[in-house]
Amino acid sequence: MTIRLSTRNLTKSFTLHTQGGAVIPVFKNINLTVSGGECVCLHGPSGAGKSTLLRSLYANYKPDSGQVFVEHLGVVTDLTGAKPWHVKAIRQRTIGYVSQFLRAIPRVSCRDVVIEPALALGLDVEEARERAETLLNRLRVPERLWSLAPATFSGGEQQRVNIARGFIVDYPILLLDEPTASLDAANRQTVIELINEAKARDAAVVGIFHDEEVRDAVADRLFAVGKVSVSDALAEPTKRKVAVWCRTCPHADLQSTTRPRRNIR
Amino acid sequence: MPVEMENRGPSAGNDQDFYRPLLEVNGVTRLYLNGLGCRDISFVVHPGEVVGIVGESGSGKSTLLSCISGRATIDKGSVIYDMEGVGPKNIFEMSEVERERLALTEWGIIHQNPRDGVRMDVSAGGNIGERQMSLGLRHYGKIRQQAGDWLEKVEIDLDRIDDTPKAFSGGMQQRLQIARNLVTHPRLVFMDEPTGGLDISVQARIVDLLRALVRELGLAVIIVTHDLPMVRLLADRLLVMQRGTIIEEGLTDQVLDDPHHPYTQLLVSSLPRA
Repeated sequence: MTIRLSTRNLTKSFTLHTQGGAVIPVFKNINLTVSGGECVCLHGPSGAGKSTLLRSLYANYKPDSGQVFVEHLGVVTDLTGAKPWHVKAIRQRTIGYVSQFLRAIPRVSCRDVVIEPALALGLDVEEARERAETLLNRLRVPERLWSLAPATFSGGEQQRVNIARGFIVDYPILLLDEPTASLDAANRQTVIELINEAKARDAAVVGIFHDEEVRDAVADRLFAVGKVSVSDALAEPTKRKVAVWCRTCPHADLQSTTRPRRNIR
Repeated sequence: MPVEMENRGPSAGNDQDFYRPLLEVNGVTRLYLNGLGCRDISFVVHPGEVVGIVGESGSGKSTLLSCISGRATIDKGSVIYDMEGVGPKNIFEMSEVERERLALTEWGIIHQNPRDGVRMDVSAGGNIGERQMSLGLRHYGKIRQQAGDWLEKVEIDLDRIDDTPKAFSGGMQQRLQIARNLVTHPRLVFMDEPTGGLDISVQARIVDLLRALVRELGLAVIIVTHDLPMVRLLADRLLVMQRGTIIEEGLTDQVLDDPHHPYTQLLVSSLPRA
């Protein structure tokens, strides 16, 4: 198995200067390694820092210390030390990121939102358009919506446009932040298929999946994210154990451990 | 256990030419008597890259833009531009004529107020054709044809081609200014608050237009603004200025989603959603 993504002692905290300089530690010394064809589910209670970790893997958040290594065009590169224009190139070709919410752009049609990453990569327009339409069809976005700007779409529709946008390029690394959060059963199934297809073409997938059905269907192992430092060895149960481990976490517990959240926006 | 991965450096294996800067700003300082201005500013812009400069009024961002586009003198520093077919040259070591020529052939400047960049008593078509004519193009039919194409690109009705911009709305004037600058396919465009003073729906249209044109023409852009939502849609990278210096820089989403400097945090937190 080829390693596609790996972190070394990744540590992140937030310093809130607008709130008296409060420092909120999020995670410390994270060592995570993900291989091609593998899906790792970040696991932990709400507020544990799963999204923060995922965003750090995309270089959206800047870690305090540690490294994020990715394989980009056959070369292993440290994202945390790379120049911005290099990070941009890595994001265009190597790392895809699907957030929970679509950032709709005024006046840009649904079809163009989906196509954009493919065009940025230099794909042929016709081919990109075909791929976009296939994805939108699979995700049951009605054709009459394709030429409209998604700002007015429902939450679920926007989410599906976002997923189509995230899967239009065959990224070797995929980061998914609750991709099925507001989807119905049929569309959840489609997303499961898309993730499994990505794994089949040897992509490394890291995701946050609160939905048990989705998690069981795609995750090969869990990676615990919490207040304490975690090592990779802690989170290597087999797939069957994964499901059991999840069920042993009572839902009430997940809710009660909410930590102060970064709130500067 | 995690398998060690070797770091071979960020630039290994990529084509170096792409990473050769188009513009290199080194230690540029320009101070006014009252102490305002910009101080020891250094950054680079690559071909096809959109760099946003944000900060409050008086932070020195407009001064900086005037300096690096050769419209104001500097006290210290250098601005190196990689001229087509010539190579990197310090714009402050060029003659006035050379600099004007450069501004006409390889650069574009979009002012906040269209009145500063558009000739109000010349027809829309004449405005678009002016740069081409000053570059020596004499074929009237061709110039008019291209003017028509560009009016279409910036969504101005073709039958307005002979009207003067005096009769245009603010948004139309701004779109005309954009067409007038981009018709000669510059490589680097300086923009000073291109959406300032326009109402929201008109702003969205300008942003959409600029996004499409930047992609289509592979333009490098330096855009000064305090409109964070707009700059998020347009810029690859951000420089945040306060009191004449750059206090934070990085990829646009990094700076807006995980700001580190107190002033940047204040700036971002002052918005409902940037």
